[in-house]
Parts: sequence; C-alpha cells; structure tokens
Amino acid sequence: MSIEIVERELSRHTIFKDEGKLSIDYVPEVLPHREEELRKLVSYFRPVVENPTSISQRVVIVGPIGTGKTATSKLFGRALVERISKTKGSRFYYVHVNCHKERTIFNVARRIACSVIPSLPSRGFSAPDYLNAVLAHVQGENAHLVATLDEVDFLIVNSGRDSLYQLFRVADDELYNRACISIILISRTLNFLELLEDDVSTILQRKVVKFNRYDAKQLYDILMHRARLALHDGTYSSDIIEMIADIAEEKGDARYAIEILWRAAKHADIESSQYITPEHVRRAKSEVSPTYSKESLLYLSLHELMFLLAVVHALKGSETPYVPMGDAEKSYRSLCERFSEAPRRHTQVWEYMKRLEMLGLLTAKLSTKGRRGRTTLIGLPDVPLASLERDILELLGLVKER
Amino acid sequence: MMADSAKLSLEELFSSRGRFRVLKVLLLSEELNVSEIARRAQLNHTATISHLNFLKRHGLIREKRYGKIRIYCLENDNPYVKLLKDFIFTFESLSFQRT
Repeated sequence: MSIEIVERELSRHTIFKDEGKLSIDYVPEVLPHREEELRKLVSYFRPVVENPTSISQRVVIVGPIGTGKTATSKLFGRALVERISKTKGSRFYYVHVNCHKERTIFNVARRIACSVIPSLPSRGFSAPDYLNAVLAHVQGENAHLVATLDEVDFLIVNSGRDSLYQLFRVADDELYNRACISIILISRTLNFLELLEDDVSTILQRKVVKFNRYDAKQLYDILMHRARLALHDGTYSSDIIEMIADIAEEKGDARYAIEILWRAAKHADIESSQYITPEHVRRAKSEVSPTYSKESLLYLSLHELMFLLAVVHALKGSETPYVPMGDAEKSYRSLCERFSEAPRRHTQVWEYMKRLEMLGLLTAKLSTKGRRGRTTLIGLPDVPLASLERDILELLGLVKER
Repeated sequence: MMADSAKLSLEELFSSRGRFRVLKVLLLSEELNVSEIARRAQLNHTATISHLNFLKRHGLIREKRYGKIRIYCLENDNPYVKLLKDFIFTFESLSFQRT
C-alpha cells in the first residue's frame, strides 16, 4: 500500500524540470545584472592571468546578503580553472572557503590544502604546514592559486587578525620572489578592515568590488532566468514572477526571492497544480523569513541551535520582547535534558550567545534601570518565532542523526 | 630507475598479502598519505611503511615531500606500473562481471 503511494508520487507529473537549479548552492552560467562587477573583478586579475607566476592579487568584495557576491566569485573561479587554464596554457586553482563554516585558520588552511592536493592527510599537521605544502605544490607546478575567503569577518573575529596575516605571509613569499597565491576576501561590510592594521587595510581598500542591492526589475530578470532553468514552460507566468520580485524588492535579496519562488513551486507541485498561483506565492512568502536566512542556521553546532531554540521558548513563554540571560539559560538546560545532552556551562553558553548575536540571529542588550542588578536581555529581531522554531527543530533532527 | 625495477621479481611482489594490498591501494588511487594507505590496506603503520619502502626501492612508487608532509604516488613513467594498473583494472572489472 505504502509502496504504491511512493510509486504514484514518483511517476506523477511535476512542474520542476530541474529543482536543483533553485537551490542556494547552484551557480548559474549567467549572472544577470552582475556583468559590471564581474568585469571589475576580472580587470583586477588581468595581470595575474597574464603573469601567473610573478604577480598575485588581493581583492575585497563587499555587499549585502543575497547580492551575488559568492556566485560571482565562484563563477570567476570556474572560468579561471576551466577556460583560462586551457587558453593561456598555465594552470589555475580556485578554492572557495566559507569562513562561517571553517572558523579557524587551521580549518581554512586544511580546506585550501586538501582541495589543491587531495591526497594530503586531513589531520596531524599545523596550519603553516598545510599552507607551505600548498605553496610548494603550486610553485612546483608553475601554477597560480586563487583562494576566496567568504564571510571573512568570522575568521577575524574568531581567530584574530593574525590568522589572516599568516595566510598573507605565505601568499607573498618574497624569498623566492614568486607570488603564486591570490586572495579574494568577501564580506557584507568593510567594517572588518578596522580590525586590521592600518597598512594592510589601506592596501585592501584600494581594490574593492562593491555589490549593491537588486531592484525589482533586476530581481525579475534573475527570477525569470532561474524559472526557465528549473521549471517547465507554462507552469509560471510573468505576473507571478513580477509578484515575487515586488515582494523581494524591499530587501534587494536575490536569495530570498529565489527561495520564495522555490517554495511557491513546491506548494504548487504538492497540490498537483499545473501552474503556480498567487496564493502559492503568498503562502511561500509567509514561510520564508527575510530577517534570517536558513543558511546561517545550517552551520551552527548542536548546542548553538539548542540555545537559540531555548531563547525562542523563553520568549514564547514570557510574552515580553526580551528575556534575561538567566531565563534563557534555564530554558536551555531543560532543553538539554529533553535531548539527553550534557548542558554546557555559563561561559560557553555566553560564547554561543555572542556568536548568535554576531550572526544577527538574536539581539542582546544590557538591562537598564528598574531591575535589580545587571543582566543581559536577549531578544529576536522581528523573526516570527514559529517559523524559526520549525526550522531549528528540523535541523536539530538532522544534527542529532549526524 | 629501470635498472632497479628490473631486479623486481614477481614472487617478491606477490608473496606478501600486505605488500600487494598497499600496492593495490595506490594503483587504484594514484597518490595518498601514509595514514590513509594504512587505513585502506588495513595494515598497521610500521608494516605499511616497510612495504612502501620496498615499492619505492624498486621504483614502483615515489615520495613527494611538502615540508613535514609526505605523500606517496605511483611512478607512472615505470612500464611495470602501467602493466600492473592494466592488470588491476581488468581483474576488478572481470570479477565485477562474474558476480
């Protein structure tokens, strides 16, 4: 009986041509309205392409969430590895590291090294060991490596600015006067430069590619392009695409827009509808929260997720916009009991809180007068509690299984 | 290198199960670090190193060094390596067909 349901569902007509084309990791061949930025990035790298063994480059990419920073640099990297390597006859490596995921310089170095030389051991060596191995390999092949550090502010805040310098030191190996490692730094704002020393930050400020928010027209083109790739013809109309573009215009966030499109298509698909209706879009919009991206939850550890869930529970119970740290911790401890996990102590929980605050998933402020003593008050910036709770619970199930 | 490889006898190469396992791991994956070879060949570290040294002495594999990190890879210029690779791949595909 149940097998029949599976069979029937799988053989049913679906409105998706290729659902993967709407996933957040997908990098399309064409990025509408990012030609100018891509051209600027390429112009910075022109000397490197012409002279891969003697010149290296450091470029900063900044822009708000969902403006195509990651996609543009990945597309550039792909072109470098697949096309330029062949036409110019010199070998290029491209490694994209998400510093939100790889939080320490060791992890970053290992990630870069194991991508360039897959046979390297994944443990047992230090960050400089890995970086030197990469340098030796790339120099030995007369190749050039472009390493992108996505969300680099996390690396600097977590492991200090020295971690970045360590990488830079290897990159400009003046001993042999052969520069063969270029670095692209991606961040939402230029604030991280304030954490670096003046001379480093002035050099970095000279080469910045700025990404601006998309307007409704641009979002329309992007959505149309993705819809053509992912959905069958006739399942969406230009009105529907325009509606989604208008919803997402306020944020100027393409990722948000694409997620609404995906969810709307999913609703239509589940209902066996032949096309997407405005009602599907409305329902999708109510589910996708623009204030946090689900992706930022993805890399959180089990206890960070549990603490965030504890804050949600505490806020739900209190009916005030903020809860004191103590209450959140109490709620966290009871959650730990429910998940049969040993609760972390105060200092560690405090660290979790700080990290979540940095990610913009919660806000923290010191209590003011009118309350005895001082405590930190935790709140959630206009995030609908129910949807956040649902997302966390979904992820907790997965994390526990891992 | 060829002079060294010429001394290699088939009996010596195939007499030890561990030695052949180490060789097979490398033939199938081109290059690897010692710990990974040991893990895949299900041998301990010392035995793996000693087999690797044998294979290196006979010019079937070579060692790449990146500072402290050592990687072993096949000596693809050696005609024996090509022969052994063909042998392994043909053997594996035949045994796959028979099952």
